[in-house]
Amino acid sequence: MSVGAPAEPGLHRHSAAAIRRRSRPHPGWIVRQLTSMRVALIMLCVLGLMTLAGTLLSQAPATVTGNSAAYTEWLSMVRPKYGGWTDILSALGLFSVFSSIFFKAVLVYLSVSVLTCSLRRFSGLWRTATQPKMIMTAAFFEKAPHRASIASEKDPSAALAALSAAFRKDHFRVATANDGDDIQICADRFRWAPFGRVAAHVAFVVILIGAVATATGGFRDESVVIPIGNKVEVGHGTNLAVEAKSFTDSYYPSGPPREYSSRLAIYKGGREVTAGTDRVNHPVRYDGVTFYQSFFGPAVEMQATAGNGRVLFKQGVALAFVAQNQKDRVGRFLLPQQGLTVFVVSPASGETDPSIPPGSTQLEVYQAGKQTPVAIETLSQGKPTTIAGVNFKFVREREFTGLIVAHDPGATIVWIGSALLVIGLFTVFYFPHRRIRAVVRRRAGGSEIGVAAIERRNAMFADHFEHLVEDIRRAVSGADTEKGGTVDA
Amino acid sequence: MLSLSQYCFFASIIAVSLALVSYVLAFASVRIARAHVVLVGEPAGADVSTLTGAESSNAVTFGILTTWLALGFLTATLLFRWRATGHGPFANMYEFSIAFAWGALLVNAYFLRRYRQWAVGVVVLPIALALLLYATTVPSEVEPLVPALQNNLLLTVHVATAVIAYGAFAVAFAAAALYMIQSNGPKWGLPDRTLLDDLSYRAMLVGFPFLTLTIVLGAIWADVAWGRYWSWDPKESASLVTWIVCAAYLHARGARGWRGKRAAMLLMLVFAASLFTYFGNLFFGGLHSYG
Repeated sequence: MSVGAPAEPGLHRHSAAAIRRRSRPHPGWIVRQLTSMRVALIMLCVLGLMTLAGTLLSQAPATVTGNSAAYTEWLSMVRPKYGGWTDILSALGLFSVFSSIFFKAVLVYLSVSVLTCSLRRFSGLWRTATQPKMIMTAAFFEKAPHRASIASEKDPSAALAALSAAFRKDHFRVATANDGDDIQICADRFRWAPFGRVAAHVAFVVILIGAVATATGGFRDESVVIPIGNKVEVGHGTNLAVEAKSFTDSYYPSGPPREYSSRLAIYKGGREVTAGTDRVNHPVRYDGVTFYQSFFGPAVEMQATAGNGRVLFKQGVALAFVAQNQKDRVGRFLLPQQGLTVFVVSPASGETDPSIPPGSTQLEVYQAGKQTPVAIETLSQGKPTTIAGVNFKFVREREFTGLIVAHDPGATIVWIGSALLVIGLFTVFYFPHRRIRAVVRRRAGGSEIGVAAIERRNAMFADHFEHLVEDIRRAVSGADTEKGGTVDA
Repeated sequence: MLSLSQYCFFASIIAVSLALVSYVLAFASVRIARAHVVLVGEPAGADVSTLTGAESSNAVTFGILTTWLALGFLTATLLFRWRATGHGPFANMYEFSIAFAWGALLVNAYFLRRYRQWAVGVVVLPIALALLLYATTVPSEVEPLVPALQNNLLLTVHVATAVIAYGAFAVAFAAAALYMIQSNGPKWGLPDRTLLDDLSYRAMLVGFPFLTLTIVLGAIWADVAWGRYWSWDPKESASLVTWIVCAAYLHARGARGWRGKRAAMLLMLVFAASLFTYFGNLFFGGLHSYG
């Protein structure tokens, strides 16, 4: 007996099979899980709960989730709100639900499931639309929740013509087939509508593909600050630059902004290629890059010249930051050849700072790598001051415009998916496929028509069916009728 | 125009209240009739449930008429305000609340015509009345639009589709609530449970595509106004939660055969989620934080 030989061969085989099943799922099992509506519903519930958690709890901005120091600082900001739960929620990943691997995994599962189910159902839908079953058996008629029998004095061919006309008047397509002495009719309308369901499901996946393309491709710069009169490079290999030529803002009498807009010029390879007014809700677009008007603020135009008179810097400096005293606004520019960093400080609109009188600005000049400034000087407009061998002049006050500059290769895909989704849903729910069967039989003195449909639990269809039967009754004219149950059986 | 809008608004509150009182009286008469039937014995062929049909009593007729009247007054309220402000009347909670009530009454009226089940209004009307009364508690002044909201077309269609969707969910909720009241058997002469189950499903079929359209239009607007079609803003996320619950309901019903009590409970969840979406901006701030 070899080591480990089984005492019960059958038991051994059974155990081995069980082990194999556990270690390597059968492909059929995988497909069953992917097409299982029960699993898909559970996943939908999980997705809903995760989204709810992401709605109820503060979510860390994308800029801090990849930076542990920034994330820790963000946690300290939300700690007063969540108290002792902060670290627990953080450990569970509930402050970054939408970027979590679990959220993405659920979406991937649902995408694969949706595609698998759509593929499996496609052929059935195609058959239903193109090859309707023509023969209505007596059993079908008896069990149909909606049915009616109509006697007509017309002969079968005339009754068929009248019946078909009534169906067509209600926009039904009519197909007929002979079944012995009977004439079988299959009338339907909106037969392609069920494909709206496929479109809507595929759209879900298309939108997710678009979202992935958005997240992984293109670029998005949230705060491109351009002092009016300045030009900045867009970067990201676009060879584009944008110049803010002018800025206008207007306010309601009560104070809120009515409108603010920038006149932009876009350059490619140094040549102006387009220009336009950039307003909220009306971004300027060029070559796949979109320039969104986002914010604005004060700026100062500064000039720096070397001792020999060479101009080192002559541009607007956006005062885009708020100083620690919360009263002043701060901007910055560099003089690399001189190894200087220059901070420009001015009181914010409506604020006063005794050290910076109206009509002046303050400079803090730092040598590279030094923590203490070389000098802090207040400059009056138009009066130059020399610091560290550089002549600085506060030319005038200006404004800056703040733009979001983005190239989103996923947006178009998302719009295609959205269109598919909306069209698919409206098609399948607002133009439901209707199929009604009928049979025309010869009888003494005319013909007998049976009409039936199996749409269950649909009171609106019951109304429709009743009206249709009335139309048919009138069409086959003057005959006695005998109607069966027409509402849900 | 604003004064006319206000007059119509208060008229609609009165009309909704009258309709509600009429329906309640009609219900009381149904219960009295049922009690009478029980006391004196049910005559052959009598079916007390038919008392809930549209033709049952003057109270019902008056209730239906005043329901339509309320819808007319609310429509006029919105149109006059639209004329006065120059934009779709959907820019603050006052306007949105009136629009939500209008959506609920509109969808209710549609299903009243198709199903002739006025009893659903017994639940829809209090919802509409609550929204209208809530509107009286928030500022009604016309505030100028901030630049982000200055997109007349998208402001109008984005919110209009939302109120139709929410209105449909309110009707679905109403039918589901009447179903749940009867979960252990017919009660109070309320409409047949199968009919309520069907009506709530049809209301969802109306609402779900409109909710989808709302979200898509919102994404289009976000893309042009905020530079990003989806920002996981709390209101966006809340609307997605509602959409997911709707999708779960439709799949559970369509593919798993969920009917009756389980389906009704899901529909109640859908309405709760839509209320959460509606009020969400008041609690969670975000990009939709306007009052």
